[in-house]
Amino acid sequence: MKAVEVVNLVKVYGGGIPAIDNLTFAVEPGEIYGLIGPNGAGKTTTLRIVATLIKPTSGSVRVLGFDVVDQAEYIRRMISYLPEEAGVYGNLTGYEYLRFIADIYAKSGDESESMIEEALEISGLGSRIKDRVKSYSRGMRRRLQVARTLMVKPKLAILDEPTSGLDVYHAHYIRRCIRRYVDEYGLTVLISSHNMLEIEYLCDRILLIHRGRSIDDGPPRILKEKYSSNNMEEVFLKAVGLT
Amino acid sequence: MRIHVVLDLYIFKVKTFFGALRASKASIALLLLYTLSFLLGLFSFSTPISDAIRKGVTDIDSYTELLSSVASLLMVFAVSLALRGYTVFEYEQNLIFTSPIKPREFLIADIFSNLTSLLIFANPIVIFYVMIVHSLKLSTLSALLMLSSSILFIFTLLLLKTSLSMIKSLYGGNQVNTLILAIIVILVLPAAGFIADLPLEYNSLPYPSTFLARILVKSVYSVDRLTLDFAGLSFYFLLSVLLFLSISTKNFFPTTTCIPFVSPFDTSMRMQTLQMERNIKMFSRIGMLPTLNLGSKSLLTFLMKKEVIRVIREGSLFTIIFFYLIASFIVVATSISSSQTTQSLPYTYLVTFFVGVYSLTIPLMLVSNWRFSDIGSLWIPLTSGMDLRIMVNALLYSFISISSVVPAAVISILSLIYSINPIIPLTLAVSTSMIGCPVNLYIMVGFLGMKSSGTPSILIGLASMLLSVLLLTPTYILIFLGLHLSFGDVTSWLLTVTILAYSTLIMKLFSREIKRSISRIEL
Ligand SMILES: Nc1ncnc2c1ncn2[C@@H]1O[C@H](COP(=O)(O)OP(=O)(O)OP(=O)(O)O)[C@@H](O)[C@H]1O
Ligand SMILES: [Mg+2]
Repeated sequence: MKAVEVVNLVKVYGGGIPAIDNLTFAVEPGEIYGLIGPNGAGKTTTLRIVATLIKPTSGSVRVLGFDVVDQAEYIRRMISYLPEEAGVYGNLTGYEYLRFIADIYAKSGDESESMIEEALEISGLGSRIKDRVKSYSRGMRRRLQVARTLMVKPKLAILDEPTSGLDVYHAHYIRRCIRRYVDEYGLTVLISSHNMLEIEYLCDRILLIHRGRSIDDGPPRILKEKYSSNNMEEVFLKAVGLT
Repeated sequence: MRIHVVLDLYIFKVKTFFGALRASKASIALLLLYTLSFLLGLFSFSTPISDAIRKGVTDIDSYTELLSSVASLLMVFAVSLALRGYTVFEYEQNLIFTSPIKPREFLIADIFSNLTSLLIFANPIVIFYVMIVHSLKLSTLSALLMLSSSILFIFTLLLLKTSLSMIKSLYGGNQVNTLILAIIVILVLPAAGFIADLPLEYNSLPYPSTFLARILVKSVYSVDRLTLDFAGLSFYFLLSVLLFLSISTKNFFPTTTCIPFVSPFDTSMRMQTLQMERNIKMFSRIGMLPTLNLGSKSLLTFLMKKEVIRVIREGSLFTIIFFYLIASFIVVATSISSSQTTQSLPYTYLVTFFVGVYSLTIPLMLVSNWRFSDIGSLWIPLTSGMDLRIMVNALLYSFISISSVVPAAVISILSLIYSINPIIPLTLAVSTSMIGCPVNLYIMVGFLGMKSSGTPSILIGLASMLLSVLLLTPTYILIFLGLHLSFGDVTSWLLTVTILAYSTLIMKLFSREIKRSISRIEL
């Protein structure tokens, strides 16, 4: 069984041109799968469909064997989604926020405690966790969000630009956390990013999207050979046809 | 269904909503102010009511009628909310809708958090209820009956609103709209009976609002013969529960409409901006239709045109027109209903009073919309080295023209309907906008220049209103004289000229001050 299986996916927002145009790909369990492509390519749209937040116009999307339209309820028990722009929870403290999520996902009080402990470590917020989220910097908020996404140890983590807005040190640290979770707990990760270094470091395979269509896919190493490039940035530019 | 999840979710929602209240003293003060002023209003109602009850009113029917029309208006409001579909906040969508929380768990938490905010905003009514029970020395049974029937009614409302919005989100389409509109019409029909002499009366119809009103009014006297009414109310409650149960397991998450999260107590700029956007978004689509030719010779007229376009595009103009339409409707409706009773006010008074009150709010609306939509680009004129006097004047002149033109049109129409002389109301409207706009802008710019620019907009508005009214006192006195001492034509015109001259003076004075303090704003 595939972790994610997308077949002939089409998404049209309110009668306009398709944001996703006949997209097909599959993610194996335990894999880190990256979506890359220019702004407006359709990455966020794809991730939101997989996360059961919006419905496909046509085509089928199955997550861990379940259909996103008819069996959303089962999928939601196994995923965790990090949105591109996480909304405002300004008036809760970081701790209250984590507590709430842990209580929803955990099956026992002990599990909830250990989730929060892990999240404290991932976020690296230290004593600031007792402050209201409003007073956090952009990067601190992002770290809190990444921490809450990973701490519940979902079967599938859907991460939309997880390290955007983070400094080099923290971005590096978060990437190591993601890697560690995949290795230790066998998560599957579907990630989108504009950071080609990140993509190369993290992803087992990637999918290049442009204007809602797939242009190419494969492991970064193979793609670099195919486009005779030294790094993913060159691959991206050549594949999208910008050079 | 997992109770602890519902409870967690409920606490989370309430905390997020009222979180700002914990942090800001200004917000708590505002809530207190709100409660006090609300209570004051209720007090003025309560004395005649409890007096009448003590003396023993015979006219129970008309009280029931009044109360049940108020209750059914509440129902109309709740039902019409369903026309938007089910709306959720951004954070709920991204976080909760991808989590294992089930639709029904979410809905129940949502209903209870709605109830909580309702209770907090309606706290004066709760206090009022306690006062009434106490002052009338009602029996425990009556008090309980009043309370429980109100609670049943509120739950019926919330369940109905929730289910209908879900139906709208899930199935959309015109049939659902028609259904909701039909419910609204059914609820409003008896109210229309007041005006059009239809044989319909709330009293005689088995509406939930009628049952509630009957219980509330009758239980003041005795608790006998209420079983039927209570049964009726319970029937509607059960019906709404059934509707809710049958629809609440559906996966409606992907069909919800997302709105930005805004707590009414938030003092941050960003939040207030979002709130503003939400209010005016409704009208902004109409605003793209007209385009003005921007080119012009002088910088002043260019800037004025730019402001006018902004006001049209962002929807403020339509908001103003909308407000005025509602207000004039109220005026016409009051004059119709008061003409049936014994004394009717002279229409000139009515129109003048209405103009006085409403034209005071328009400068406030224009200036706060300016703040929210233009503060982000204020650096352009401020760093451009242009003469700031021109910019301030352009702002003022465009605000004054907009806030005079709309009332002027309404006054002309009303004066045609009632065949009255429009000069005095017109003078009042123009003077109000000539003084109101500069004062509002001055206070806004003053607040923006202060170090803590996160003042809640309500406070700024309150301060502006007070200062405007203070400076308008001479105008009010002159208008009052004009109304009472039915002057001849020449004296009337003299009056107008005096008022306008005074207003111009104030405007000039303030525009100089605004220019001085606008350069102090730190962006
Ligand atoms: N809510 C929406 N309504 C209408 N169109 C939308 C909506 N969201 C996205 N689109 C359109 O769908 C297309 C894909 O957008 P999407 O957000 O998926 O891109 P993306 O690949 O995530 O881009 P980015 O790199 O900028 O995040 C774009 O053309 C966008 O304009
Ligand atoms: Mg995106």
